[in-house]
Amino acid sequence: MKVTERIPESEEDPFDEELAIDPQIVLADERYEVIGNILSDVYEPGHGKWQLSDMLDEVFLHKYLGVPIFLVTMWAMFTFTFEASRVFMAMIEALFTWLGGFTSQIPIPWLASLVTEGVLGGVGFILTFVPPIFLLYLAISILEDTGYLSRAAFVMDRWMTKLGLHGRSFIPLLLGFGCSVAAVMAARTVDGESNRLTTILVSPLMSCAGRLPLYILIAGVFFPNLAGTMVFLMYIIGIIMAVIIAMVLKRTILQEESSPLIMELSMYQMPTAHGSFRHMWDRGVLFLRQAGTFLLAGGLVIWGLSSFGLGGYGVPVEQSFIGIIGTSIQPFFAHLGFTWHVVAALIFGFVAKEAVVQSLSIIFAVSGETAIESALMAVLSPISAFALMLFVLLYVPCLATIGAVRKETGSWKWTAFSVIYQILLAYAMASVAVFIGGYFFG
Amino acid sequence: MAEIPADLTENALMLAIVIGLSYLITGIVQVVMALGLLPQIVGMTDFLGGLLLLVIAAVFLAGVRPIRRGEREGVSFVVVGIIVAGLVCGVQLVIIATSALGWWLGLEDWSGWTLQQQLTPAVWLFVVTLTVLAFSHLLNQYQNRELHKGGGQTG
Repeated sequence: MKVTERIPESEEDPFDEELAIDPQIVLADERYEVIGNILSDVYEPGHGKWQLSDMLDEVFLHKYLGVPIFLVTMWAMFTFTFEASRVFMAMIEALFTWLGGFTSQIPIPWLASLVTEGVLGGVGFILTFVPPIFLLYLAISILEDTGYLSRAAFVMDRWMTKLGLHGRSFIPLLLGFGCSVAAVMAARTVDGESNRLTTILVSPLMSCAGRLPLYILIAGVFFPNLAGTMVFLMYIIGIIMAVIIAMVLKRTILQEESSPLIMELSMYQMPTAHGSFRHMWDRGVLFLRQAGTFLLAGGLVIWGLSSFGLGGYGVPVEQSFIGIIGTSIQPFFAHLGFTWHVVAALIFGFVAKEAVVQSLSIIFAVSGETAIESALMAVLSPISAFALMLFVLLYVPCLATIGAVRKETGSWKWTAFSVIYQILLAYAMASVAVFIGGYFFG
Repeated sequence: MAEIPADLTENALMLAIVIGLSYLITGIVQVVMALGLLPQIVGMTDFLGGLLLLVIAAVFLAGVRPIRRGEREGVSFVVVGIIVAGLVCGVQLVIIATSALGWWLGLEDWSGWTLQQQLTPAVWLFVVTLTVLAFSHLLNQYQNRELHKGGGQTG
């Protein structure tokens, strides 16, 4: 076990001792002084062993190579998640298509539609994304178990400090790759009220597993040759946006002097299959539970809103309740190239991001479209599809995250700020993407 | 945690240069091909893949100077370079395995799949790396044996 410490540049002035002293540093110094004294009594100095853990830190924490290696690791994680899961997704999709062949034969038309389009088209479709979500959790578990994630936080501290954030903020941000609620709650570990609040406010910008189904769907349909890279790009944009927003917040409304990062870096460990798969299962099963409960209920609600309108059951989907809601808001998104189908799905996405894909699947199924892929290609251009990915990346992750922000900040004001700035940011960035995309490729 | 194998420390300079240059040259060629400045070869069309090779090359080559100065820290770059190269290769092998499964099951998206498409430089360069490591190990064994022989004769 070793302690790694980095004092921000602003505190390196040897004459400014008052500012440089931090109780944690003093505590760590005292602790290691005691250890040093004991060792000097009992240990005969010799040619010390230089172990693999020291070697790895030499490079993983390197001033220039640390960040590129971290990016390679992230790329490997997302490429593994996307590419390795594709075949299993296709198998699950084939299973639900096969089941749909039976359920569509149910003699009562509304029941056949409910089961085929509402349940199998909704929850069944979202279940095809179980493999990438489980593989993403497996990759995160392996990285955590090896001890690399804490090194990643230390490597990023150099950049985070320059931008006004605390290095420890990076750990909640990394947890945000799995779940935004976990990221917001993990912000408790960040020192300083201002640092903590900044971390809470930017954590939802990190791309959680709930957004993954939409990325995989859109990237697979519109950018098939670059699908893995596009998914990776979304995660990188999430990090960049989080850092930029944090920088703006820290230089405007949440100013506070930066504090040093002190981390205990444990030795690297070889992850065990049992441990990593156990962690994957513990996290992934929450998604299965979600799919079996409120995504199922949500699917039935969306099917009801898509099948019923002012004229009763069986009206054209454009005249259904969901069509009415979507078309009334769609003009605000017309410049992004989003049709009412997409806008309606985004509204349901406030509840949970998985619901965006689920809603699209049900709306298109009720519309009589057999394949969501071809339906999407008919209503979106590649530029609008990219804008949709950006919008989903940046707007509020889910209701549970809003609840977590309220709980952690203890303030409705900051909760409202969090929701509003994320929606505005998503809208602005999607607009910029469409504008730039239209200029170069339009 | 394991200690560093003697082969690595003794032949580190040769390993860093040979493997580092292999990744560097291939990375540059792949990036240039991806940009369309050279005729494309199957499996070498990914721009990002080329950048990954350049990062791996940078890790190996960053170790050359400290190794030449006799600093043991230089060996770290060779070890981490092998780990990162192995990670990238491992991911590609998983992709090949799952694609082969899709092809074997007769799934539509994999009907035209061939192994050649996915045998990217990340895979064969790591095979080259392992070969160089094995060669280095054998060379080390041979040198040690010769040293013992020489010692026995003079003694």
